[in-house]
Amino acid sequence: MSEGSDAVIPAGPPDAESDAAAAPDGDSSAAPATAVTAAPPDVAASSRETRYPFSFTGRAADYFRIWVVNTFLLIVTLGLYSPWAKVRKRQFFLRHTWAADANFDFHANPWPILRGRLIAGLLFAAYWFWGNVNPKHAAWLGLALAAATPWLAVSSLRFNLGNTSYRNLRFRFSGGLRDSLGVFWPFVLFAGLTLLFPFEVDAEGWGREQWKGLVPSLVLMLFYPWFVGAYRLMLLRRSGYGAANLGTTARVRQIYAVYARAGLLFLALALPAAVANGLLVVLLKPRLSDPAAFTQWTTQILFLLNLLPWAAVAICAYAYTQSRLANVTLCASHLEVPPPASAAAGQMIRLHSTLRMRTLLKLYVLNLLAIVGSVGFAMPWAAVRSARVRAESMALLSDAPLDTVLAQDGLAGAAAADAASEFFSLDVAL
Amino acid sequence: MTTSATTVDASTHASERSVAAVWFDGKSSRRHPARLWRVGDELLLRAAGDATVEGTTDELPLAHAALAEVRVGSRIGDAPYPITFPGGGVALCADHAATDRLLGLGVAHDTVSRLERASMLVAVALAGLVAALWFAYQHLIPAATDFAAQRIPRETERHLGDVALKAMDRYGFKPSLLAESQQEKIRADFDRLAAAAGMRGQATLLFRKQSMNAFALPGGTVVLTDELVRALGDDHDALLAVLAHELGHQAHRDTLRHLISGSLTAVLVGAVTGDVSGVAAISTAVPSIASTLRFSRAIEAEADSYAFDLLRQTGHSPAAFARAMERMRAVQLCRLLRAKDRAAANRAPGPMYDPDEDPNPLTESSSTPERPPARCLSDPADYLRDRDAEVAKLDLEGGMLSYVSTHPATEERIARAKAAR
Repeated sequence: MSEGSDAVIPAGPPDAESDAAAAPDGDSSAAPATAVTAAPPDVAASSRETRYPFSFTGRAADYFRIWVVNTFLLIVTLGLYSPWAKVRKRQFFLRHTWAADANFDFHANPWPILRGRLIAGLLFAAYWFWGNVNPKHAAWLGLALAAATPWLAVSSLRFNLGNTSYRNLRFRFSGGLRDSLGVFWPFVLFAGLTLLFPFEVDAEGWGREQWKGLVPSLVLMLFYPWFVGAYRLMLLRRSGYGAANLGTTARVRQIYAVYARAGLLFLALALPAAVANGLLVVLLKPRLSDPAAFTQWTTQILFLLNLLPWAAVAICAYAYTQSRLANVTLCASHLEVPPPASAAAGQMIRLHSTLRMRTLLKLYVLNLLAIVGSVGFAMPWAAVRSARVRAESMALLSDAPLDTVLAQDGLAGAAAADAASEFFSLDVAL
Repeated sequence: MTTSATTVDASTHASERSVAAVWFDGKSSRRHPARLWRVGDELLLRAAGDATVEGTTDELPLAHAALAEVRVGSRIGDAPYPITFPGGGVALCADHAATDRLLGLGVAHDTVSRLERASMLVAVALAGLVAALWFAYQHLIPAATDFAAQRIPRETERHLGDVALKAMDRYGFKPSLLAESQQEKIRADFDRLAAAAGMRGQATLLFRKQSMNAFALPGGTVVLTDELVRALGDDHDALLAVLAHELGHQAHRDTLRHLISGSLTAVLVGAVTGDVSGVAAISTAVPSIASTLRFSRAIEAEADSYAFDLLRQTGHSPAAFARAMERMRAVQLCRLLRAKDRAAANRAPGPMYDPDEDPNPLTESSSTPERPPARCLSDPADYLRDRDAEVAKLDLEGGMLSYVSTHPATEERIARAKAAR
């Protein structure tokens, strides 16, 4: 179900998506008197827009404790604790994410999560096992999973957003199966094409059958940016906060432009990578092929060294894509607050994101080195660092004094929570 | 803290009977700076400007409820306590200690949070975590694997083997070139061994031409390559020892166990590393691979032991297994040395596994002029003669990498076979 879980969380921790959907009002009157956070709203020079930056105040030491206890309980309960662990982890990350003097919170009931995960776990085990026993059956199971993914994705979003709050008002996701099918059809197509054109390697050579076997992958590559874009746009168009609705003017073609530029960046970096590669070979080949130093691992070591410059290029392209995707979609998004009964016009709160490629690059490389170097014990530190980088790149902008956002239909917290955790709101996003 | 508000001067003891709070009523996103007061078993929330519980103005409190009616959320890190009132409003209190005192929260409240904050308990949990992982890895996964493997029908297993064989034949396994009579002779011995092992009619021997190898496919099929038959030459007992090892894999249903163990390990690793996202997720593959390799080494050792027993039972000596391993190692060392010599002569190392009895004109025509062409398969000893120092060096370098090997160290296996006599 690799495409399934990717699909549910397309980029980074899901918290970033919830943050994206966040949109508080400001405290037009109370804020000056009661501001406690280090970053007071500042006024942009070009307009009268006030900027409310996001911040993350969680500490790695605190999360390390949560992580240890969660993981320990997870292991001794043979995984059954995982929904409680998930809720606690989300609460840690959301409660420490602040904007305009208020934090987020997560309210999910772990029991429906447990039910969803047990079902997902069984499906995954079936897929994994049968995939090894008989690849033919695996393709059919893959098709079935791909067909179920759109439904799983919307119910997960509904559950997770519906259980996320900011200033004691819930977010919501109102997308349905139709929206989701419009996002996930490339995967259904891919699964179907894999059945039609199975990839088969023939020792005899590369023939027509082999070319045909590439068709599903090529089609998926062609539509992948479309999928990434459509998923984010669905999230931004079908979500709301209280009675206010999120909206975006971003277009899928902008996502294609990001991927195209990432491709160009890859090509531009390919030349230095090839030079670095050549230098490595020139410098190391004589040393390694010195008969006295020759071992059975020489060829493997050379192979890995050859890979290094290309891995660096790939990480650069990935960091570029992730940062630009966030900026392109969030900067074009806004929260429409409906007008109160007394006023004619509502107000617009814009989202803003200034994530930089070099910031993400540094984050990725340091996290990878720290996790590998600490045999995994730096994982909480890496997770906290990621959350901080993501939060600090985001802000809310509003050009009018912020009015209050009202709860939807006057629903208070508890009732909204019940609506979000009905039976079909499974949570399978692991 | 049940002092009545009417008997104590509220302003002097404000900090004892109240805490700073921020109130969100749940009806709008408005933020109300406030103060949470306790009067007996009642909680009152007043705007921050009000210095006393009675309030400085005639305004009604923002909220009030009985202590038993509010829900105090769990404490996480240094985020404020959320206190939910019956109407759905939430008061956030940043001062944890003062809130604990005000509400009289005992040790029973919020067990998980207390566990997280007690350094001693976290240390114990950390040790317990390492121990639990070790236990799962060492005992739980093997036990669950055996349990599951025994419950999967032979029919399914055979099907798995058929699929694998088809794939291998497609990926470059060629039909055997061994004489029919030789194949028959080996097959007769194999059948006798299988009968002695209680697998009469359940194990099938197939011949293929590829690199020097013998392996067991799920469902009873054993594949032997021409190259291995030729490498072992006249030592028929050595060949039998290799076949006995493969029958051990069949008896233990090792491919199936490998598969199940791999799945369970993946689940365990996923549970612990679920946090890692982005590029760093690559690092989570390391424990899975290490564990798979370790399992692989363990099942090889088990198959060795099985082979020793079977050989003794059928009147052969386990020493034959040692001879087989020694011969295969000699072939590999010969090839490594040959590759090294070719590198020294500035030539491409050539394929490590090409059968030299069947020279490939592209690589073999340019054999090094300084030394006679190596015949590693039929006579590796000839090429290795008088080069003990170089061979020892090759061996040593191989030994350091035993953690990334699928098989136990060859010396260890040879020593065990000799000891099993």
